[in-house]
Amino acid sequence: MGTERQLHERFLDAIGEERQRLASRRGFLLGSAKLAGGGALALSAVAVPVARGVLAQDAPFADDVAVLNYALTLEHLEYAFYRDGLDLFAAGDFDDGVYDNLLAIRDHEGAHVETLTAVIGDLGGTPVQEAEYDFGYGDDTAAFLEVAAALENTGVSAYDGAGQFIADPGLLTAAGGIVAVEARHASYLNDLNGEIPFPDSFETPLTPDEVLAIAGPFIVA
Amino acid sequence: MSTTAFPSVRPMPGSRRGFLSGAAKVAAGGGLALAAAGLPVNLRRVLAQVDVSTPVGVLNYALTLEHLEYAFYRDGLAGFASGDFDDGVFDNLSLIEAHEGDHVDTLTAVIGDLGGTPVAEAEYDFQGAFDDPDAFLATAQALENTGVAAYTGAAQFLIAEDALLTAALTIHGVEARHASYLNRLNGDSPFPDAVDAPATPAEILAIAGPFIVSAAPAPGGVTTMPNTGIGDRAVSTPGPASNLALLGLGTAAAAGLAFFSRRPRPEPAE
Repeated sequence: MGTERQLHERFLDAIGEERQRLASRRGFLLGSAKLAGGGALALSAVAVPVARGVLAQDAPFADDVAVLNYALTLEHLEYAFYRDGLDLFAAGDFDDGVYDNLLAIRDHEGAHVETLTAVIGDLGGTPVQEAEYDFGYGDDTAAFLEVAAALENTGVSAYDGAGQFIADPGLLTAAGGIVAVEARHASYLNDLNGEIPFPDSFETPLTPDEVLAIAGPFIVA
Repeated sequence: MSTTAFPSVRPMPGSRRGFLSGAAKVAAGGGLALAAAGLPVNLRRVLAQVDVSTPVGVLNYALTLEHLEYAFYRDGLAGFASGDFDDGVFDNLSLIEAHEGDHVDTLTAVIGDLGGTPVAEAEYDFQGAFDDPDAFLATAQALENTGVAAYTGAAQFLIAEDALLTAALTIHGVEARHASYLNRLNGDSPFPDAVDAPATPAEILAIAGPFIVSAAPAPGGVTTMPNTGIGDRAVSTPGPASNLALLGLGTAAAAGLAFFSRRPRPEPAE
C-alpha cells in the first residue's frame, strides 16, 4: 500500500463525500433510496425536486456551444483516463473479458470527444482541448476500476443536469444518446466494483459546479 | 442490419395465444388481413393515445412503457425463484422491478399534478417470456433496450419543459443501466454502440404493441380508433424481432432473436 494508493483513496473519499454532501443537502438522493417501493405521493415529492434542485441556479451556459464544451471537458477526462490506463495495464491484469470491455469504453469516449469536437466546430465554436490529469491509481487495477466507476457515474449526473440547457432538439437527442452510453458504462463498472449496477430508481442530476467539484481534483493543468 | 437475418415468427407455445399466432401468420403474408385477427384494434387503441405534442402526452407515452415493464417484472418474477437464476440475479431483477414501479408511481403522480389523466395499466401477453428463465431474461433485455431508445427519442419533446426533461433524463439513465446489465446477462455487449440510437414513438409502439393484449380505455374515453398512419405502420411491420432489427438495436435484436427462436443458451460461465 504505497502513497499512490493513498492518494487514490483520498480522491475517492473526496468524491464520495462530495456526492453525499450534495445529496444530503438537497435531500433527494437519500430520500429516493429510502422511498424505493414507497407510495406515489412521496415519490412525487421526491422526483420533481430532483429537477428543481438543478434548476435553482441561473442558467450556467451562454449557448449550446457552452453546454457541449462542458460535455467535451468531461469526455476528454474520461478518454484520457482509459487511453493512458489501458496502455499501462494488460488483459491479464483483469478478469476474463474485462479488458476488452474497457477498450470498448475507451473507444466510446474517444468517439464522444471526436463528435463533440466536430459539432462545436460546425457551430462556430472553439472546442476545449485535453488537459493534463492525475487520476492517482498508480499501478493498481482495482483502484483504476474504482476511479472508472466514479468518472462514469459523475458523467451521467453531468449530462442529466445539463440536458435542460440545450436549446437545439437535435443536439438534445444526440446528448441523450451519449448519456445512455455513459449510464451503460456506469452500470457495468459498478458491477465490476461489487456495487449495485443501478443503485437508485432515478439518476442524480448535478450542476456544473457540483460536477467540477468532483472532477476538478483530477485536472492538474 | 438486414431484417432477413431474423425470423419474424416465433413458435407459439399454446392455443391461448391463438390470436397472436394468427397475427403472426398474417404478418408473414401482409399487414392488411391483420384487421380480421383483432390485434390492430388493440394496437391502434394504444397508438391513438400517444400524443407527444403536450408534456402530459409525452409523460403518458413514457408511462405506457413503464406500465409494460413493471407488469413484466411483477408478474414474471412471481413465477420464478432466486434459484432459477445465477447468484445475485434475482435480487437485481427484483430491484429493477422496484425501479419500474417507482417510475410508474412517479409519472402517474406528475401527470396528475399537471392536470392530466394518467394512462392505466393494460393487459399484456409476454408471449412465453415467463416459461423459463432464459426467455424471461431475453425479453427483459429487449424491453429495457427499447425503453432506452424510447426515452432517447422522446427527450426532445420536453425541450421546453426543463424540470420534466431533467426528470425524464434521470429515468432514462436508469433504464440504460438496466439494459447494460441485461445485455451482459444475455451474453451480449453491455454497451454495443458509442451512442445509443433514438427511436420514434411509432417505432417503439411497433415493438411494444404486440405485448399489449387489451389496452386500458383512453383517458378521454376514446371509443373509435382512427385508421392512422402510425397504426398502419405498426401493423404492417412483420413482428417484434424484426422491428428491433429495423431499429438498429443490435443487442435488442439479438434478444428478440433469442426470444423468438428460443435458441439454446450455454451455461453461464462462472
